[in-house]
Amino acid sequence: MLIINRYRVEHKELVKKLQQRLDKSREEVEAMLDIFCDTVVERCSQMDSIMIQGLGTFEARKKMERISVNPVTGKRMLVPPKVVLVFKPNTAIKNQLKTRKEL
Amino acid sequence: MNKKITMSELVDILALKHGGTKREVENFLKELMSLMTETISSGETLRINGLGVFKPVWVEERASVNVQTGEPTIIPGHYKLTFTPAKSVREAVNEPFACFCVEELPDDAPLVSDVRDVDEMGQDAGDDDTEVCDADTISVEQAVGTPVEQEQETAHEIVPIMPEPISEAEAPLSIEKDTADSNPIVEDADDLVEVDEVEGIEDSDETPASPAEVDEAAQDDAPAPLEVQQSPAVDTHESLSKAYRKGIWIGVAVSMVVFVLAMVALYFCFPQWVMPLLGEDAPDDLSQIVTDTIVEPCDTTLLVAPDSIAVDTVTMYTEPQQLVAPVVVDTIRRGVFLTNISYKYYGHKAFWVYIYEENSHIISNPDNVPVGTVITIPAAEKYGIDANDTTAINVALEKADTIKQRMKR
Repeated sequence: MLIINRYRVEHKELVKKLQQRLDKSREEVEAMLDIFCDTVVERCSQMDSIMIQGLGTFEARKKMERISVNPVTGKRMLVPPKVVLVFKPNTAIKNQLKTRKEL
Repeated sequence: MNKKITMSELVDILALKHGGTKREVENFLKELMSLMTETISSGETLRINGLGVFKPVWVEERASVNVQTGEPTIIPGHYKLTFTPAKSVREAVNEPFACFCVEELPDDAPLVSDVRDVDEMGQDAGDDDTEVCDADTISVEQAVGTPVEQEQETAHEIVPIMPEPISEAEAPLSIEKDTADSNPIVEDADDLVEVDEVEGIEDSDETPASPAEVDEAAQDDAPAPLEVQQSPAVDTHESLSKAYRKGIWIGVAVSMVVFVLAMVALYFCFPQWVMPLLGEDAPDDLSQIVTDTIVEPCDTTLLVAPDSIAVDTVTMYTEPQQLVAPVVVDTIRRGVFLTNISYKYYGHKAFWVYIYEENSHIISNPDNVPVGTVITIPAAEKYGIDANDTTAINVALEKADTIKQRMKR
Protein backbone atom coordinates (compact mmCIF):
# COMPACT_ATOMS: atom_id res chain seq x y z
CA MET A 1 0.00 0.00 0.00
CA LEU A 2 2.81 2.26 0.90
CA ILE A 3 4.50 1.81 -2.43
CA ILE A 4 1.31 2.41 -4.36
CA ASN A 5 0.72 5.57 -2.38
CA ARG A 6 4.17 6.73 -3.19
CA TYR A 7 3.54 6.23 -6.90
CA ARG A 8 0.37 8.25 -6.62
CA VAL A 9 2.37 10.95 -5.06
CA GLU A 10 4.83 10.72 -7.86
CA HIS A 11 2.16 11.51 -10.38
CA LYS A 12 0.79 14.31 -8.26
CA GLU A 13 4.30 15.58 -7.70
CA LEU A 14 4.94 15.59 -11.41
CA VAL A 15 1.79 17.57 -12.01
CA LYS A 16 2.68 19.97 -9.22
CA LYS A 17 6.16 20.55 -10.58
CA LEU A 18 4.82 21.08 -14.06
CA GLN A 19 2.30 23.50 -12.61
CA GLN A 20 5.10 25.50 -11.06
CA ARG A 21 7.29 25.49 -14.12
CA LEU A 22 4.59 26.28 -16.64
CA ASP A 23 2.69 28.60 -14.35
CA LYS A 24 -0.61 26.99 -15.22
CA SER A 25 -3.53 25.56 -13.32
CA ARG A 26 -3.59 21.89 -12.24
CA GLU A 27 -6.57 21.12 -14.50
CA GLU A 28 -4.78 22.46 -17.55
CA VAL A 29 -1.66 20.47 -16.85
CA GLU A 30 -3.64 17.30 -16.15
CA ALA A 31 -5.60 17.72 -19.37
CA MET A 32 -2.38 18.20 -21.38
CA LEU A 33 -0.80 15.18 -19.75
CA ASP A 34 -3.86 13.05 -20.48
CA ILE A 35 -3.85 14.12 -24.09
CA PHE A 36 -0.15 13.30 -24.34
CA CYS A 37 -0.64 9.84 -22.86
CA ASP A 38 -3.67 9.15 -25.03
CA THR A 39 -1.76 10.16 -28.12
CA VAL A 40 1.15 7.88 -27.30
CA VAL A 41 -1.13 4.92 -26.70
CA GLU A 42 -3.26 5.65 -29.73
CA ARG A 43 -0.27 5.92 -32.05
CA CYS A 44 1.40 2.87 -30.63
CA SER A 45 -1.81 0.90 -31.12
CA GLN A 46 -1.36 1.67 -34.82
CA MET A 47 2.15 0.18 -34.63
CA ASP A 48 3.79 3.59 -34.88
CA SER A 49 6.79 4.54 -32.79
CA ILE A 50 7.11 7.86 -31.04
CA MET A 51 10.58 9.33 -30.63
CA ILE A 52 10.90 11.94 -27.95
CA GLN A 53 14.14 13.86 -27.85
CA GLY A 54 16.01 13.64 -24.60
CA LEU A 55 13.83 10.82 -23.29
CA GLY A 56 13.54 7.85 -25.56
CA THR A 57 11.18 5.96 -27.83
CA PHE A 58 7.77 4.45 -27.27
CA GLU A 59 7.03 1.66 -29.66
CA ALA A 60 4.75 -1.35 -30.02
CA ARG A 61 6.31 -4.77 -30.47
CA LYS A 62 4.70 -7.98 -31.65
CA LYS A 63 5.32 -11.09 -29.59
CA MET A 64 4.86 -14.53 -31.12
CA GLU A 65 2.73 -17.14 -29.48
CA ARG A 66 4.67 -19.61 -27.36
CA ILE A 67 4.26 -22.64 -25.16
CA SER A 68 5.20 -22.12 -21.56
CA VAL A 69 5.39 -24.87 -18.98
CA ASN A 70 4.28 -24.33 -15.45
CA PRO A 71 7.27 -25.58 -13.46
CA VAL A 72 5.12 -26.56 -10.49
CA THR A 73 2.31 -28.45 -12.17
CA GLY A 74 4.17 -29.34 -15.38
CA LYS A 75 1.18 -28.22 -17.41
CA ARG A 76 1.86 -26.75 -20.82
CA MET A 77 0.20 -23.47 -21.58
CA LEU A 78 -0.23 -21.93 -25.00
CA VAL A 79 0.45 -18.22 -24.62
CA PRO A 80 -1.24 -16.34 -27.45
CA PRO A 81 0.51 -13.74 -29.61
CA LYS A 82 0.25 -10.15 -28.43
CA VAL A 83 1.37 -6.58 -28.99
CA VAL A 84 3.26 -4.89 -26.18
CA LEU A 85 4.10 -1.24 -25.60
CA VAL A 86 7.85 -0.87 -25.10
CA PHE A 87 9.83 2.14 -23.97
CA LYS A 88 13.49 2.38 -24.89
CA PRO A 89 15.27 5.11 -22.95
CA ASN A 90 17.72 7.49 -24.51
CA THR A 91 21.41 6.53 -24.28
CA ALA A 92 22.06 9.59 -22.13
CA ILE A 93 19.55 8.40 -19.56
CA LYS A 94 20.84 4.86 -19.74
CA ASN A 95 24.41 5.98 -19.15
CA GLN A 96 23.39 8.20 -16.28
CA LEU A 97 21.59 5.32 -14.64
CA LYS A 98 24.55 3.01 -15.25
CA THR A 99 26.98 5.30 -13.48
CA ARG A 100 24.79 5.43 -10.40
CA LYS A 101 25.97 3.12 -7.66
CA GLU A 102 23.79 0.63 -5.89
CA LEU A 103 21.80 2.25 -3.10
CA MET B 1 1.37 2.33 -39.59
CA ASN B 2 5.02 1.68 -38.69
CA LYS B 3 5.69 5.41 -38.91
CA LYS B 4 8.25 7.13 -36.79
CA ILE B 5 6.67 10.13 -35.15
CA THR B 6 9.13 12.84 -34.19
CA MET B 7 8.80 15.58 -31.63
CA SER B 8 7.49 18.17 -34.09
CA GLU B 9 4.82 15.83 -35.43
CA LEU B 10 3.78 15.03 -31.90
CA VAL B 11 3.46 18.73 -31.19
CA ASP B 12 1.20 19.11 -34.21
CA ILE B 13 -1.01 16.25 -33.12
CA LEU B 14 -1.24 17.48 -29.55
CA ALA B 15 -1.99 21.02 -30.63
CA LEU B 16 -4.78 19.77 -32.83
CA LYS B 17 -6.29 17.75 -30.03
CA HIS B 18 -5.83 20.31 -27.28
CA GLY B 19 -6.94 23.24 -29.31
CA GLY B 20 -4.15 25.46 -28.01
CA THR B 21 -1.24 27.03 -29.87
CA LYS B 22 1.76 25.01 -30.95
CA ARG B 23 4.05 27.12 -28.82
CA GLU B 24 2.00 26.32 -25.76
CA VAL B 25 2.07 22.61 -26.44
CA GLU B 26 5.78 22.65 -27.25
CA ASN B 27 6.58 24.41 -24.01
CA PHE B 28 4.52 21.93 -22.10
CA LEU B 29 6.19 18.96 -23.77
CA LYS B 30 9.69 20.34 -23.22
CA GLU B 31 9.01 20.91 -19.54
CA LEU B 32 7.44 17.48 -19.23
CA MET B 33 10.39 15.77 -20.89
CA SER B 34 13.02 17.60 -18.86
CA LEU B 35 11.14 16.82 -15.67
CA MET B 36 10.78 13.15 -16.60
CA THR B 37 14.45 12.92 -17.54
CA GLU B 38 15.49 14.49 -14.27
CA THR B 39 13.29 12.19 -12.25
CA ILE B 40 14.35 9.05 -14.07
CA SER B 41 18.02 9.94 -14.09
CA SER B 42 17.99 10.57 -10.36
CA GLY B 43 16.94 6.95 -9.95
CA GLU B 44 13.45 7.68 -8.73
CA THR B 45 10.41 5.77 -9.79
CA LEU B 46 8.09 7.80 -11.97
CA ARG B 47 4.47 6.95 -12.37
CA ILE B 48 2.29 8.66 -14.92
CA ASN B 49 -1.38 7.80 -14.74
CA GLY B 50 -2.69 6.63 -18.04
CA LEU B 51 0.78 5.63 -19.32
CA GLY B 52 2.76 3.46 -16.94
CA VAL B 53 5.62 3.24 -14.53
CA PHE B 54 9.26 4.09 -15.24
CA LYS B 55 11.41 2.36 -12.70
CA PRO B 56 15.14 1.86 -12.43
CA VAL B 57 16.10 -1.73 -11.64
CA TRP B 58 19.42 -2.96 -10.29
CA VAL B 59 21.18 -5.52 -12.50
CA GLU B 60 23.70 -7.74 -10.75
CA GLU B 61 27.19 -8.02 -12.14
CA ARG B 62 27.72 -10.96 -14.47
CA ALA B 63 30.45 -12.65 -16.45
CA SER B 64 30.58 -12.12 -20.17
CA VAL B 65 32.96 -12.55 -23.10
CA ASN B 66 34.40 -9.90 -25.38
CA VAL B 67 33.02 -10.92 -28.74
CA GLN B 68 36.02 -9.63 -30.71
CA THR B 69 38.89 -10.93 -28.59
CA GLY B 70 37.16 -13.81 -26.79
CA GLU B 71 38.49 -12.36 -23.55
CA PRO B 72 36.29 -13.08 -20.52
CA THR B 73 35.05 -9.87 -18.93
CA ILE B 74 32.80 -9.00 -16.05
CA ILE B 75 29.95 -6.60 -16.60
CA PRO B 76 29.61 -4.61 -13.36
CA GLY B 77 26.26 -4.25 -11.70
CA HIS B 78 24.27 -1.27 -12.91
CA TYR B 79 20.83 0.28 -13.03
CA LYS B 80 18.56 -0.22 -15.95
CA LEU B 81 15.32 1.55 -16.72
CA THR B 82 12.20 -0.54 -17.05
CA PHE B 83 8.88 0.64 -18.29
CA THR B 84 5.73 -1.15 -17.27
CA PRO B 85 2.70 0.07 -19.15
CA ALA B 86 -0.50 0.60 -17.22
CA LYS B 87 -3.18 -2.02 -17.58
CA SER B 88 -5.45 0.22 -19.63
CA VAL B 89 -2.55 0.97 -21.98
CA ARG B 90 -1.64 -2.72 -22.31
CA GLU B 91 -5.17 -3.60 -23.26
CA ALA B 92 -5.46 -0.72 -25.70
CA VAL B 93 -2.25 -1.65 -27.50
CA ASN B 94 -3.07 -5.35 -27.54
CA GLU B 95 -6.53 -4.79 -28.91
CA PRO B 96 -6.06 -6.78 -32.15
CA PHE B 97 -5.18 -9.90 -30.13
CA ALA B 98 -7.54 -9.25 -27.26
CA CYS B 99 -9.73 -12.21 -28.20
CA PHE B 100 -6.93 -14.68 -27.38
CA CYS B 101 -6.32 -15.97 -23.92
CA VAL B 102 -3.84 -18.43 -22.43
CA GLU B 103 -4.92 -21.98 -23.06
CA GLU B 104 -3.88 -25.10 -21.27
CA LEU B 105 -2.64 -27.79 -23.63
CA PRO B 106 -3.63 -31.39 -23.05
CA ASP B 107 -0.64 -33.65 -22.39
CA ASP B 108 -1.16 -35.76 -25.52
CA ALA B 109 -1.55 -32.80 -27.87
CA PRO B 110 0.94 -33.02 -30.74
CA LEU B 111 3.62 -30.39 -31.07
CA VAL B 112 3.47 -27.95 -33.95
CA SER B 113 6.23 -29.71 -35.89
CA ASP B 114 4.47 -33.08 -35.58
CA VAL B 115 1.29 -31.62 -36.95
CA ARG B 116 3.18 -30.30 -39.95
CA ASP B 117 4.73 -33.71 -40.68
CA VAL B 118 1.35 -35.36 -40.63
CA ASP B 119 0.02 -32.76 -43.02
CA GLU B 120 2.87 -33.31 -45.46
CA MET B 121 2.35 -37.05 -45.39
CA GLY B 122 -1.29 -36.54 -46.15
CA GLN B 123 -0.41 -34.32 -49.08
CA ASP B 124 2.02 -36.87 -50.46
CA ALA B 125 -0.48 -39.67 -50.23
CA GLY B 126 -3.11 -37.61 -52.01
CA ASP B 127 -0.73 -36.43 -54.70
CA ASP B 128 -1.47 -38.58 -57.74
CA ASP B 129 1.07 -36.96 -60.03
CA THR B 130 4.05 -38.10 -58.05
CA GLU B 131 2.78 -41.66 -57.96
CA VAL B 132 2.32 -41.71 -61.70
CA CYS B 133 5.84 -40.39 -62.13
CA ASP B 134 7.17 -43.10 -59.89
CA ALA B 135 5.42 -45.81 -61.83
CA ASP B 136 6.87 -44.45 -65.08
CA THR B 137 10.38 -44.41 -63.80
CA ILE B 138 10.05 -47.93 -62.49
CA SER B 139 8.87 -49.24 -65.83
CA VAL B 140 11.74 -47.44 -67.55
CA GLU B 141 14.17 -48.97 -65.13
CA GLN B 142 12.78 -52.39 -65.85
CA ALA B 143 13.11 -51.79 -69.57
CA VAL B 144 16.68 -50.71 -69.10
CA GLY B 145 17.37 -53.69 -66.91
CA THR B 146 16.17 -56.33 -69.36
CA PRO B 147 18.92 -56.03 -72.01
CA VAL B 148 21.53 -56.72 -69.41
CA GLU B 149 19.65 -59.75 -68.20
CA GLN B 150 19.23 -60.97 -71.76
CA GLU B 151 22.92 -60.52 -72.27
CA GLN B 152 23.58 -62.59 -69.22
CA GLU B 153 21.38 -65.31 -70.62
CA THR B 154 23.21 -65.29 -73.91
CA ALA B 155 26.45 -65.52 -72.06
CA HIS B 156 25.21 -68.59 -70.28
CA GLU B 157 23.98 -70.09 -73.50
CA ILE B 158 27.35 -69.65 -75.08
CA VAL B 159 29.15 -71.58 -72.45
CA PRO B 160 27.56 -74.98 -73.00
CA ILE B 161 28.43 -74.81 -76.68
CA MET B 162 31.93 -75.81 -75.85
CA PRO B 163 31.35 -79.24 -74.37
CA GLU B 164 28.50 -80.09 -76.70
CA PRO B 165 30.50 -81.32 -79.65
CA ILE B 166 32.39 -83.68 -77.42
CA SER B 167 29.32 -85.32 -76.08
CA GLU B 168 27.96 -85.67 -79.59
CA ALA B 169 31.15 -86.83 -81.13
CA GLU B 170 32.56 -88.74 -78.20
CA ALA B 171 35.45 -89.29 -80.51
CA PRO B 172 38.76 -89.15 -78.75
CA LEU B 173 41.56 -87.23 -80.34
CA SER B 174 45.25 -87.46 -80.61
CA ILE B 175 46.81 -85.40 -77.89
CA GLU B 176 49.93 -84.69 -79.89
CA LYS B 177 48.05 -82.88 -82.61
CA ASP B 178 45.46 -81.05 -80.65
CA THR B 179 47.05 -79.71 -77.54
CA ALA B 180 48.83 -76.98 -79.41
CA ASP B 181 45.86 -75.94 -81.50
CA SER B 182 42.99 -76.45 -79.14
CA ASN B 183 44.48 -74.54 -76.27
CA PRO B 184 44.30 -71.19 -78.01
CA ILE B 185 40.86 -71.97 -79.30
CA VAL B 186 39.47 -72.54 -75.87
CA GLU B 187 41.12 -69.45 -74.55
CA ASP B 188 39.83 -67.46 -77.45
CA ALA B 189 36.35 -68.74 -76.95
CA ASP B 190 36.71 -68.01 -73.30
CA ASP B 191 37.74 -64.48 -74.11
CA LEU B 192 34.85 -64.23 -76.50
CA VAL B 193 32.41 -64.91 -73.73
CA GLU B 194 34.00 -62.30 -71.54
CA VAL B 195 34.23 -59.73 -74.27
CA ASP B 196 30.63 -60.34 -75.15
CA GLU B 197 29.57 -59.54 -71.66
CA VAL B 198 31.64 -56.43 -71.60
CA GLU B 199 30.31 -55.32 -74.89
CA GLY B 200 26.73 -55.83 -73.84
CA ILE B 201 27.18 -54.07 -70.59
CA GLU B 202 29.14 -51.18 -71.92
CA ASP B 203 27.19 -50.48 -75.00
CA SER B 204 23.71 -51.87 -75.35
CA ASP B 205 23.57 -50.86 -79.04
CA GLU B 206 26.04 -53.56 -79.96
CA THR B 207 24.19 -56.32 -78.19
CA PRO B 208 22.40 -57.66 -81.27
CA ALA B 209 25.69 -58.01 -83.09
CA SER B 210 27.58 -60.04 -80.56
CA PRO B 211 25.25 -63.02 -80.24
CA ALA B 212 25.19 -63.26 -84.02
CA GLU B 213 28.93 -63.51 -84.09
CA VAL B 214 28.83 -66.11 -81.41
CA ASP B 215 26.27 -68.02 -83.41
CA GLU B 216 28.59 -67.97 -86.37
CA ALA B 217 31.29 -69.30 -84.20
CA ALA B 218 28.95 -71.95 -82.92
CA GLN B 219 27.96 -72.89 -86.46
CA ASP B 220 31.58 -73.20 -87.31
CA ASP B 221 31.99 -75.35 -84.28
CA ALA B 222 29.32 -77.72 -85.43
CA PRO B 223 31.10 -79.12 -88.50
CA ALA B 224 34.24 -79.66 -86.51
CA PRO B 225 33.12 -82.94 -84.97
CA LEU B 226 32.61 -84.30 -88.45
CA GLU B 227 36.22 -83.73 -89.20
CA VAL B 228 37.05 -85.35 -85.95
CA GLN B 229 35.01 -88.38 -86.75
CA GLN B 230 36.81 -88.74 -90.07
CA SER B 231 40.06 -89.43 -88.25
CA PRO B 232 39.17 -92.04 -85.66
CA ALA B 233 42.22 -94.13 -86.49
CA VAL B 234 44.48 -91.89 -84.55
CA ASP B 235 42.94 -92.57 -81.18
CA THR B 236 44.12 -95.65 -79.41
CA HIS B 237 44.68 -95.38 -75.72
CA GLU B 238 42.33 -92.42 -75.43
CA SER B 239 39.22 -94.57 -75.52
CA LEU B 240 40.17 -96.09 -72.21
CA SER B 241 39.68 -92.86 -70.27
CA LYS B 242 36.52 -91.80 -72.09
CA ALA B 243 34.27 -91.82 -69.08
CA TYR B 244 36.92 -90.15 -66.99
CA ARG B 245 37.26 -87.34 -69.51
CA LYS B 246 33.50 -86.90 -69.66
CA GLY B 247 33.50 -86.19 -65.96
CA ILE B 248 36.31 -83.68 -66.35
CA TRP B 249 34.42 -81.93 -69.11
CA ILE B 250 31.38 -81.55 -66.92
CA GLY B 251 33.66 -80.10 -64.28
CA VAL B 252 35.14 -77.69 -66.79
CA ALA B 253 31.69 -76.65 -67.96
CA VAL B 254 30.61 -76.01 -64.39
CA SER B 255 33.77 -74.04 -63.62
CA MET B 256 33.29 -71.99 -66.78
CA VAL B 257 29.74 -71.12 -65.74
CA VAL B 258 30.96 -70.23 -62.25
CA PHE B 259 33.68 -68.06 -63.72
CA VAL B 260 31.25 -66.21 -65.96
CA LEU B 261 28.90 -65.72 -63.05
CA ALA B 262 31.79 -64.44 -60.96
CA MET B 263 32.73 -61.96 -63.66
CA VAL B 264 29.14 -60.75 -63.91
CA ALA B 265 28.92 -60.49 -60.14
CA LEU B 266 32.22 -58.63 -60.07
CA TYR B 267 30.88 -56.21 -62.63
CA PHE B 268 27.66 -55.54 -60.78
CA CYS B 269 29.27 -55.26 -57.36
CA PHE B 270 32.31 -53.21 -58.35
CA PRO B 271 31.59 -51.55 -61.68
CA GLN B 272 34.13 -48.84 -60.88
CA TRP B 273 36.87 -51.47 -60.86
CA VAL B 274 35.87 -53.37 -63.91
CA MET B 275 34.77 -50.53 -66.17
CA PRO B 276 38.13 -48.76 -66.51
CA LEU B 277 39.89 -52.09 -67.10
CA LEU B 278 37.51 -53.39 -69.68
CA GLY B 279 36.94 -50.01 -71.25
CA GLU B 280 40.59 -49.84 -72.24
CA ASP B 281 41.14 -53.43 -73.26
CA ALA B 282 37.91 -54.50 -74.80
CA PRO B 283 37.54 -52.34 -77.92
CA ASP B 284 40.97 -53.22 -79.34
CA ASP B 285 40.88 -56.90 -78.59
CA LEU B 286 37.32 -57.42 -79.68
CA SER B 287 37.81 -57.31 -83.42
CA GLN B 288 40.83 -59.59 -83.33
CA ILE B 289 39.27 -62.12 -81.07
CA VAL B 290 36.02 -62.34 -82.95
CA THR B 291 37.71 -62.84 -86.26
CA ASP B 292 40.06 -65.37 -84.73
CA THR B 293 37.31 -67.47 -83.35
CA ILE B 294 35.42 -67.42 -86.57
CA VAL B 295 38.36 -68.42 -88.70
CA GLU B 296 40.22 -70.83 -86.51
CA PRO B 297 37.58 -73.44 -85.82
CA CYS B 298 37.25 -74.00 -89.54
CA ASP B 299 40.69 -75.32 -90.16
CA THR B 300 41.47 -76.79 -86.77
CA THR B 301 39.72 -79.39 -84.78
CA LEU B 302 37.74 -77.96 -81.95
CA LEU B 303 37.86 -80.52 -79.25
CA VAL B 304 40.26 -80.21 -76.41
CA ALA B 305 42.49 -82.89 -75.07
CA PRO B 306 42.66 -83.64 -71.35
CA ASP B 307 46.10 -82.10 -70.98
CA SER B 308 44.88 -78.74 -72.13
CA ILE B 309 42.00 -78.88 -69.72
CA ALA B 310 44.31 -78.63 -66.77
CA VAL B 311 46.06 -75.68 -68.34
CA ASP B 312 42.73 -74.14 -69.09
CA THR B 313 41.39 -74.34 -65.59
CA VAL B 314 44.58 -72.84 -64.26
CA THR B 315 44.43 -69.94 -66.65
CA MET B 316 40.82 -69.36 -65.81
CA TYR B 317 41.55 -68.86 -62.16
CA THR B 318 44.60 -66.73 -62.69
CA GLU B 319 42.91 -64.50 -65.20
CA PRO B 320 41.08 -62.13 -62.83
CA GLN B 321 44.31 -61.15 -61.11
CA GLN B 322 46.06 -60.56 -64.39
CA LEU B 323 43.16 -58.41 -65.48
CA VAL B 324 42.94 -56.32 -62.32
CA ALA B 325 46.57 -55.93 -61.37
CA PRO B 326 48.36 -53.72 -63.89
CA VAL B 327 45.76 -51.08 -64.62
CA VAL B 328 44.68 -49.76 -61.22
CA VAL B 329 45.17 -46.01 -61.20
CA ASP B 330 44.07 -43.29 -58.84
CA THR B 331 44.14 -39.52 -58.90
CA ILE B 332 45.42 -37.29 -56.11
CA ARG B 333 42.72 -34.92 -54.98
CA ARG B 334 42.44 -32.39 -52.18
CA GLY B 335 42.76 -34.14 -48.87
CA VAL B 336 43.91 -37.40 -50.48
CA PHE B 337 47.43 -38.51 -49.61
CA LEU B 338 49.48 -41.57 -50.38
CA THR B 339 48.58 -42.92 -46.95
CA ASN B 340 44.87 -42.56 -47.66
CA ILE B 341 45.26 -44.38 -50.95
CA SER B 342 47.32 -47.09 -49.32
CA TYR B 343 44.61 -47.61 -46.72
CA LYS B 344 41.98 -47.71 -49.44
CA TYR B 345 43.67 -50.36 -51.54
CA TYR B 346 45.72 -52.39 -49.05
CA GLY B 347 43.88 -51.86 -45.77
CA HIS B 348 46.85 -50.22 -44.02
CA LYS B 349 48.38 -46.80 -44.39
CA ALA B 350 51.97 -48.00 -43.95
CA PHE B 351 52.11 -49.39 -47.48
CA TRP B 352 52.21 -45.94 -49.06
CA VAL B 353 55.94 -46.48 -49.58
CA TYR B 354 55.24 -49.03 -52.28
CA ILE B 355 52.89 -46.69 -54.06
CA TYR B 356 55.62 -44.08 -53.86
CA GLU B 357 58.23 -46.49 -55.24
CA GLU B 358 55.93 -47.48 -58.06
CA ASN B 359 55.43 -43.82 -58.96
CA SER B 360 58.80 -42.40 -57.92
CA HIS B 361 59.32 -41.14 -61.48
CA ILE B 362 56.23 -38.90 -61.10
CA ILE B 363 56.34 -38.04 -57.41
CA SER B 364 59.28 -35.97 -56.27
CA ASN B 365 58.21 -35.45 -52.69
CA PRO B 366 55.87 -38.03 -51.14
CA ASP B 367 54.79 -35.50 -48.51
CA ASN B 368 53.55 -33.10 -51.17
CA VAL B 369 52.04 -34.77 -54.19
CA PRO B 370 50.42 -32.21 -56.52
CA VAL B 371 46.64 -32.42 -56.88
CA GLY B 372 45.62 -34.17 -60.10
CA THR B 373 48.60 -36.50 -60.24
CA VAL B 374 47.53 -39.84 -61.69
CA ILE B 375 49.37 -42.63 -59.91
CA THR B 376 49.35 -46.36 -60.58
CA ILE B 377 48.61 -48.64 -57.69
CA PRO B 378 50.91 -51.70 -57.69
CA ALA B 379 49.45 -55.15 -57.15
CA ALA B 380 49.59 -56.24 -53.54
CA GLU B 381 51.61 -59.35 -54.43
CA LYS B 382 54.34 -57.37 -56.16
CA TYR B 383 55.73 -56.06 -52.87
CA GLY B 384 54.26 -58.67 -50.58
CA ILE B 385 51.69 -56.29 -49.15
CA ASP B 386 49.44 -57.79 -46.50
CA ALA B 387 47.62 -55.62 -43.99
CA ASN B 388 47.25 -58.56 -41.60
CA ASP B 389 50.97 -59.32 -41.61
CA THR B 390 52.81 -57.29 -38.98
CA THR B 391 56.22 -58.04 -40.44
CA ALA B 392 55.15 -56.68 -43.80
CA ILE B 393 53.91 -53.54 -42.07
CA ASN B 394 57.18 -53.18 -40.17
CA VAL B 395 59.17 -53.59 -43.36
CA ALA B 396 57.06 -50.88 -44.95
CA LEU B 397 57.56 -48.59 -41.95
CA GLU B 398 61.34 -49.08 -42.07
CA LYS B 399 61.26 -48.26 -45.73
CA ALA B 400 59.26 -45.15 -44.94
CA ASP B 401 61.94 -44.05 -42.46
CA THR B 402 64.70 -44.42 -45.04
CA ILE B 403 62.65 -42.48 -47.57
CA LYS B 404 62.03 -39.72 -45.06
CA GLN B 405 65.73 -39.49 -44.21
CA ARG B 406 66.55 -39.35 -47.88
CA MET B 407 64.05 -36.53 -48.31
CA LYS B 408 65.66 -34.60 -45.45
CA ARG B 409 69.00 -34.70 -47.16
